[in-house]
Amino acid sequence: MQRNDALRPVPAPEPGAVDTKRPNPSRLPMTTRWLRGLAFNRIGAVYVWLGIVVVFSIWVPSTFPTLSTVKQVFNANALTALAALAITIPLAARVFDLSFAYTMTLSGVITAHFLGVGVPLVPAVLLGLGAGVLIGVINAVVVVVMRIDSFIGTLATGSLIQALITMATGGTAIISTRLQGGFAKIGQTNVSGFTLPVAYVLVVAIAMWFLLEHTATGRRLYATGFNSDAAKLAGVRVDRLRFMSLVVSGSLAGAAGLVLASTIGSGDPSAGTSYLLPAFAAAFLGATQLKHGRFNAFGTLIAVLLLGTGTTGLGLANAPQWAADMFVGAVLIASLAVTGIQRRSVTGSPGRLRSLLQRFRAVAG
Amino acid sequence: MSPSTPARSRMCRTAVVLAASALLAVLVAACGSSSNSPGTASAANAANTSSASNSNSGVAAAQQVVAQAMQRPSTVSVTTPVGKPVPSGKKIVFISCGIAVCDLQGKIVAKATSLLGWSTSTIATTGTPTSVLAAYDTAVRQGANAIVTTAALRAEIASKLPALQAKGIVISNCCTTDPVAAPFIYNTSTPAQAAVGGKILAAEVVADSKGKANALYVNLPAYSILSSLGSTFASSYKQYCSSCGYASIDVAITQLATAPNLIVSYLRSHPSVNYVVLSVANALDNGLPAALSAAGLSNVKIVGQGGGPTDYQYVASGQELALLPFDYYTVDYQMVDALARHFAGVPVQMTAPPEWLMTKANVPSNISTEFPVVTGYQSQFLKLWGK
Amino acid sequence: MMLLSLRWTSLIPEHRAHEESRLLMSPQAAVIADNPHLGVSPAALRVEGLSKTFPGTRGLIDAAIEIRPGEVHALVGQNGSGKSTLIKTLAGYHMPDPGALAEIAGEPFALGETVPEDLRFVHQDLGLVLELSAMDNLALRGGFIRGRAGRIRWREQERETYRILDRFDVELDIHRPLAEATPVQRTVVAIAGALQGWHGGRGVLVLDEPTAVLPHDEVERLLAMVREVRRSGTSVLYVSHRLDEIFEIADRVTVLRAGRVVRTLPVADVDHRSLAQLMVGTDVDPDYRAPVADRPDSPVVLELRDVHGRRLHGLSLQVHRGEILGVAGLPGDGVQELPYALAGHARHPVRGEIRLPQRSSAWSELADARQLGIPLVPADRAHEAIVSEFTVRENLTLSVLDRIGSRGRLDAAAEQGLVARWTERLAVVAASAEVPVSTLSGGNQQKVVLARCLARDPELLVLAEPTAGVDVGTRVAIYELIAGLARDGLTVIVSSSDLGDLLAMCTRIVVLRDGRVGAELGAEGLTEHELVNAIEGERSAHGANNATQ
Repeated sequence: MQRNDALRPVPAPEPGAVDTKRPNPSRLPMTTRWLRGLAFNRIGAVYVWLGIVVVFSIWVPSTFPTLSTVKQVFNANALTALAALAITIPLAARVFDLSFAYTMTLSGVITAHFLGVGVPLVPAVLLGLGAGVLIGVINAVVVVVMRIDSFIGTLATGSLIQALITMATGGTAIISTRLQGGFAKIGQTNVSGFTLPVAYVLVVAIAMWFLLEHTATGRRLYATGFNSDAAKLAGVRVDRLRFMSLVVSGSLAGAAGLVLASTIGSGDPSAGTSYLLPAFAAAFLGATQLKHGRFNAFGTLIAVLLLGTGTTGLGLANAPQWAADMFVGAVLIASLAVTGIQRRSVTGSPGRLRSLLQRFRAVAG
Repeated sequence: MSPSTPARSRMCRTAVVLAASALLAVLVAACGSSSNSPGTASAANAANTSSASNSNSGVAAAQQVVAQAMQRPSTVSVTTPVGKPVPSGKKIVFISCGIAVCDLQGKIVAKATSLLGWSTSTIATTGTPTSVLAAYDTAVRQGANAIVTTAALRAEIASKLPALQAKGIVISNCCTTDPVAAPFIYNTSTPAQAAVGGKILAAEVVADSKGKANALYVNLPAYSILSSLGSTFASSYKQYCSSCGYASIDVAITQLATAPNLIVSYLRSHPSVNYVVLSVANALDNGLPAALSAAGLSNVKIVGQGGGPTDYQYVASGQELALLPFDYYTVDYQMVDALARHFAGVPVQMTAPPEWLMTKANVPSNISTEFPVVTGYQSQFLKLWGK
Repeated sequence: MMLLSLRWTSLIPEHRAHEESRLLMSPQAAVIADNPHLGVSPAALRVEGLSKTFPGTRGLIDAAIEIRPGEVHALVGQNGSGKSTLIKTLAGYHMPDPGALAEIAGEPFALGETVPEDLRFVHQDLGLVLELSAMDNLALRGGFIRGRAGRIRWREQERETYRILDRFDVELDIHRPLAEATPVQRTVVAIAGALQGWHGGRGVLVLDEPTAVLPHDEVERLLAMVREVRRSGTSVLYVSHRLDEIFEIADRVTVLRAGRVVRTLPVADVDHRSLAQLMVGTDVDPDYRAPVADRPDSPVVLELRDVHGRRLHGLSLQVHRGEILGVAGLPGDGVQELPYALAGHARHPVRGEIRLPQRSSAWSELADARQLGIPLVPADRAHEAIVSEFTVRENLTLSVLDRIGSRGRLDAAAEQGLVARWTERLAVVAASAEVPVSTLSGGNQQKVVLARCLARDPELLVLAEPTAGVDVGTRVAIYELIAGLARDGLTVIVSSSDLGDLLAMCTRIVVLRDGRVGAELGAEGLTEHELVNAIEGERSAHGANNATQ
């Protein structure tokens, strides 16, 4: 995907002392900006995705290239996307929230419990959401106030949450006929083939995109993540941002847990756990897309879409049971390699292996 | 952005190679699918070439089986009283597999043994081979007279068997494919017994569809105990309705979370399938009804083996057609009964767990926890034990 | 690459190659080459036709350098002149463009692919494992002495370590982690480690900015070490920003400018001023003094009362409007601590009081100084100032995001306008405001950090080590900028271990001793000698003691 430089118009002379060897992208003509946006190194995953779409369309022509597949991919991956979006903001500030999966379980269990004992729908939902916010605050206290490394700190709180859930439920799912009524509509309402969670994902992604791209808070979150010392000395309230990011991830995980409980129709004491690794895989793959090295909402969605399309396609093609795991592994490496190699060649660093070694040395040293 | 250099074009090539390798992974999977599960797609075509008389008699037979299976058992399968006094003061160790139902079983076993005047301690494991092996060591150190556990495999604990035998410790087990041999004295829900469930599910599908079924059997190969269930389902199904379509898919244990999506994918590529048969309902159907309705597949009916509160709720609300709940209570008492006979010095009876087909028509009122299928199990066992 | 080198040596006979290299040299250098003592044996290291193209820029253009046996050869140039590209290519981190030729002691080698045994490096970060002892660090490079079954023979290892360190006359507990050693002790270990296994003076040792992290008073000890290395016959390629050192230690100097070798010439043939001119390309005075007048009569804008911290012990201070106050002192006297305390980002707890009389007559706790929002240009640019993943624009506006747009929403046009204004005002040289800030030279990065602080329209600005790793030309630009701002009423506090900074722009200099003001000097007519005397003169023994703590 070498772009033809001849396609690029001569940049207009720019005022000021800023050297104009390379033009400011925001002032380029629309077509050039689009071309640049489509560069391999920005959206490598999209090209891998397109390749997969083509392969499946040839492999299972009768069922794969249809609108129903689009709906299925969206519906089946909406919850993974919500979970991945929940951790995107803390990751932007280089904070891990490994407890989000357990928070998802907790909010679902709590809402199911209160619905079961007769609490009306709205208060029960608010209690579930409140649990998410509370967990967020607790995480924030552990990580920001007690200064415990977020990776191990949220691993610990996650473990505690799961213990609490098992203690309270005895390990069995909480069910009630009331979970079938209005509560089921939260996750199961179907609008011309798309379920409501797809809409939630879009709303959350757009809000997050706006926050990270177009607000001072977003810029400060990234600065905190990249170099917290520099951010602090530049006047950014690093601790407050980290605190807030964990509250946001707790709240979003709580909301995702509600949707999950609504979809399965019970308060399952292990429902959220299976989202832990897919969400992190999507968030990290997403960080290599669109915005170099920055965790961002639409990159995360691209990643979820890529992984989700593959697994759905393999299902349509009746692939054997090991195919899905193999696909996820191969696609993660391929997408990161395509994006990474292109980027390194652009920034002019030495060979791939050597720069990996340098990175390793930086980590080890 | 920059002039093309040899290094750069080399990198481009590498990138393309890597992208291609991802696609290759997909293609490898494609080859695998055609060789691994032969005939999955062809079965549906058979449905149209049937003879009416054959299917009618099959449906009638199936209906009969269903009617019988829907009768909730009122007696446990053990019938002979122990006949001799059961010695008291035995020390029993329950080795738990670490998940919620195993913990429940620990409580049931403890209750049963206390009725015999025995004591029980539960050793929790995480289900990993190392933690299970360590649990056997602990049991020996605790001076156990017997061990009750679930799905223990002889090969997995082979290294601990000499120590157990030296101390005369016996194991009462359930749900394993191994034949019973010392120190194991009992096994219930054996492959042969589990096969009955396959027959009932097959009958339910054929009866409910009145001979117009096209079923997808969803198998979990990770559990070898399930293979007899699957094979009996397939054979009974053909017996009741030779014209009905049949296919099966395997779901890897790592893919359980995405099982609903996998099933939806299959159903979309095989739109004539109208029944889904789950080998382990509670492992495969979390969110399945919602996923089916979102994909416009709500006409597809779900039946399955096993289940938990979530699944029972699906049956009660009509989102699933029928389930075969597992009666943890009776099974655990059967395992303790075997120990009672062992210590009393009478032969152990090999008995099957209760089988019951639960549909919306006969679903019990309280399904928020696991429940005994045979409601009078406790008094019946007490009578057998002479207490 | 390899092929090319072979062809080159086979085509050009030994003596021809020498003649050609002489042609490349300046006339003075050629004279020295004829000196029978230095010129007969092949060059210790010779590189020719070395170019390195990065996307968008050319790091090196047809560079050539020749290092003779047993000489200290200095390599100078401004930031971005190609010094580090040259060093990194020699060290094998960069692959040069095709066509480069290199040989060491007459043996050709492939640049970027192989690093000859006789070419060794001490990089700026020294490459030591600080958690391990000197003995372990040396053995990690030179190999452990092992007995049977791979057991390390510690007694012999210890003797070997003492033998290696012996020639450098350094007192060091070889069993303690290097983290506890002083910077100069660590440098000794790094140099000794690099020289391991060489016997009887051979090869080329590359020292990349060895004095960058050394306090002023320890530079002399390092130079003594370099002389010791030269005495044994080993050649040294010495990279430094500090011209004084070059005049003190180097035999010849190669000047790089904008990726090209400008000149190679004996140090004896140049003076401070002409060398700086060669580097910058225009007429630059290294002894530049910014035109700032002392303002003792203007109102007080900052007062500190009884400040205590890790190094500060009862410091009190008054700063007037439009003043550029220099803070000098030995390490350990609180020079590094004060700027961070003023900005409210001290690493250790501080107490004391601060007041900005122009804003409020009330004193407030120094521990809460962050509320006052005094901008700081931190000492360690890479770790404390620059967000290297960010663009120039994002770095520049990081402190003023709340002024761009409304209610938290960033206004892209307003941001670009602000960036354009400041990059123009500070003459930041960058391909565009949208390139990663890491692609800029150190001096331009520092300008971006300065712009970030100035964009807040502060009345007070604190600078810590404002010209660390900044080349001569940019340095003067920064001096002029600060002086201009001070004339317009900005008050500046500069803490620096580079006395040149203080002399060049300050109106008044306070010398800290034991954490409080020990002396106060007017900058008018102040010489470097007087300043050094004020800092360490009266109690150098005590000072040296402090520095090694």
